[in-house]
Amino acid sequence: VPDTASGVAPRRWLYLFLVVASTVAAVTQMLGVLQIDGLTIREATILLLFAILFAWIASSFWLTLFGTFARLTRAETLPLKPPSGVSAARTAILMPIYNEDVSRVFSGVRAIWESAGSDFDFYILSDSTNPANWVAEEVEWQKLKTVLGAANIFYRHRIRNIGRKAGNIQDFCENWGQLYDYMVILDADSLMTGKTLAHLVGLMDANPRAALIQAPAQIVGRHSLFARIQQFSSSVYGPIHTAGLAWLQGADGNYWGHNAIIRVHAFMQHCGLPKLPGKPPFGGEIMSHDFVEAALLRRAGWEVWMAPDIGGSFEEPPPTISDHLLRDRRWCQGNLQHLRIVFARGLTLPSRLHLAMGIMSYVASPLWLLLLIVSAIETLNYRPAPGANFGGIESSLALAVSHAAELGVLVLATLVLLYGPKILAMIVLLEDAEATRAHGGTRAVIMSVIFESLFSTLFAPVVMLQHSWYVLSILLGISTGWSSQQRGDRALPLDFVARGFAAHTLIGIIATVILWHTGVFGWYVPLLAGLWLAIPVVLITSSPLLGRWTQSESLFLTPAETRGLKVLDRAHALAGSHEELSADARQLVLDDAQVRELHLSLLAGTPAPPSSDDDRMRLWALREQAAREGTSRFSREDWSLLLSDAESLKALGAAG
Amino acid sequence: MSAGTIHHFASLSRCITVVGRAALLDILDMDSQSRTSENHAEAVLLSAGAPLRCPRTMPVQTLTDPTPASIAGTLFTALFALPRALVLAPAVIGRSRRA
Repeated sequence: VPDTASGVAPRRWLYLFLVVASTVAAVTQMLGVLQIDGLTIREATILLLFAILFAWIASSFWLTLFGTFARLTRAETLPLKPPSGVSAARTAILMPIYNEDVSRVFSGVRAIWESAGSDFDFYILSDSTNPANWVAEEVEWQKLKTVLGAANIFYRHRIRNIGRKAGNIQDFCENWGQLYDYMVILDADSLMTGKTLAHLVGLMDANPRAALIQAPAQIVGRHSLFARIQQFSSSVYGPIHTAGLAWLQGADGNYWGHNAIIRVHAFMQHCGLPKLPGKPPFGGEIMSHDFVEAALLRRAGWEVWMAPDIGGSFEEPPPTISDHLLRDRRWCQGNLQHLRIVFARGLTLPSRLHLAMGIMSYVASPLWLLLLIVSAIETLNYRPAPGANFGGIESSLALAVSHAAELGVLVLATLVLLYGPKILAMIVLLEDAEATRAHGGTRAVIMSVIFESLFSTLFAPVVMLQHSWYVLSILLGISTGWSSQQRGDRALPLDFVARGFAAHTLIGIIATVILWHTGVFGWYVPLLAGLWLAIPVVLITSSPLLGRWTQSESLFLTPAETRGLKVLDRAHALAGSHEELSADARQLVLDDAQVRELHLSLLAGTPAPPSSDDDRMRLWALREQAAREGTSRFSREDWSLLLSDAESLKALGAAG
Repeated sequence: MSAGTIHHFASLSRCITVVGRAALLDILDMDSQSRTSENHAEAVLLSAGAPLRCPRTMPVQTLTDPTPASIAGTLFTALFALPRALVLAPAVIGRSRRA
């Protein structure tokens, strides 16, 4: 067995040293600029915020530098024993879904099934609350089983979504977990190849201390401009980031919620999540369960690995900035909830760091905003010391001139930390002729990186404001619900974008008016430009048409686009040729005997939730109403109740 | 083992011998790895949405809320744990793997 972590400790020490040293150097430089005439409270605040934020971006920069080194030197980033022989293990592939596009889900399952063959059992674990989705899923499942002649594709619907996604997985484990050695968790838009799945199983077989191996998902498959930019970033910048992470974390890895294989026995024993005391957003069910589950596995002594080079693991990005930010709201609440977990007893230090970095990825935004506000106030209130003499030169001018060099160094250092990783990633990519060709060639890669950098510069202040609002609203106790994600390409309408991003634009204009006459306005322009242009940027980047145009201009190309990706192309082809149900899926349960029979047989396998007297009364009224005047006035809740009750459905079916 | 020993009477053996009790405990502790040779679950019930349920509860883990003392304690512990974890982890992992 290879010595899996022999190099980890020195690497971690070096990483820590580099982050701390670069932060100390920058803070010292900043201190020199600020403390000309002593350090006021405002200046001390600026220094503190600057130190935190600089350390944050420095940690990211050094991580990617480590990843670059690992890539260029072809260092072993997954030092596990390789698979040997054919596995006898039983593995379940789980796809938890929640009101998702039914055709997309089943096309994805079929594409994976065709790639993986019959070595795996597939479970579509539905938490859908929309009755139309529920019935459509059942019909599609039956169709898929018939078409493939596959007995190993299962479907289970939960009437009550206790514990959300984590509860969905837990429900699987508690009912069927004992039948399996491993489970692979997918998201509704995940795709994995059979080769990757088999490799992951082999790795788990060969490394019995490994409880979880995360296969980083490359984002692919969407066509809007925003999605294509994200896909390009994932393809070019992702590899050095994941390589850096894997190289530093070793067996102290993290779990990203899907596209990972898990040892069921270990998971069942150690990952039963508690409900946090108190109300949401900080109490209640643990929303971002993945980080916590990885931490619990590590606490129990199991290994958690990341396989950065495994390939064959994909997911689709949100199609628009608006969808991206909507998803971030949920993640933000989940990550901030980790404030209550990060100090939990027994967690390992790297697990605490994973949790802390997850928290910081959202808290950084309000800290940055605060830094900008305090810096602006400091600028507006700056009065040079009376009587200061700089050899006859006007004092404020002299002050500005005397610190231009230090400020210049700081700005340059910040730019290097922010844009350096992109350049490093580009260098790594250009080193590989085959990969460069797959991204459209050298010129296409360079131009795409330039445009992507421009876009991310404009996008950053919008994200900063949005995340700041999320953090503030969560601290104020405003919780988010559990909405399904919009995954399909669509151009956003102007009025929708204007409503959503008018506040960003307005804040940009107000900040411009305030800072216009100060000598530092120019420094703020890159930030303000993102806010001024928020509406057009969101609007333009949502366009699939522009996405396709940039593709024809060889911008943001990825190997999935230039070479094709069998499993993805197959899923898209299946979704494209998918035939929607001819009638309202819910009504089919009443009108179509076959659909009703299918629904009832599936319902029979589902434990009935305890029904209250109110529910029974309501059901009786609904049956009466359906028999008398049909179901046209049924609400979504009425349908859910009716579809959950076999007796009523049988009675209505017999009457029909 | 020669013929005619107690081990040929499985039920009796499980009750009264060390080996038998160990075998019994193995069955009780049997995890999913032990069942790889069993028939595929789908053969059990083809017409249902999922195989027959095989219930087993997942124990709920403890994630105590932090208190000022626990935070201070954790930070203090981390201060000492950091060098130990960083320096000794490879050795510990390596040793356990070799074992």
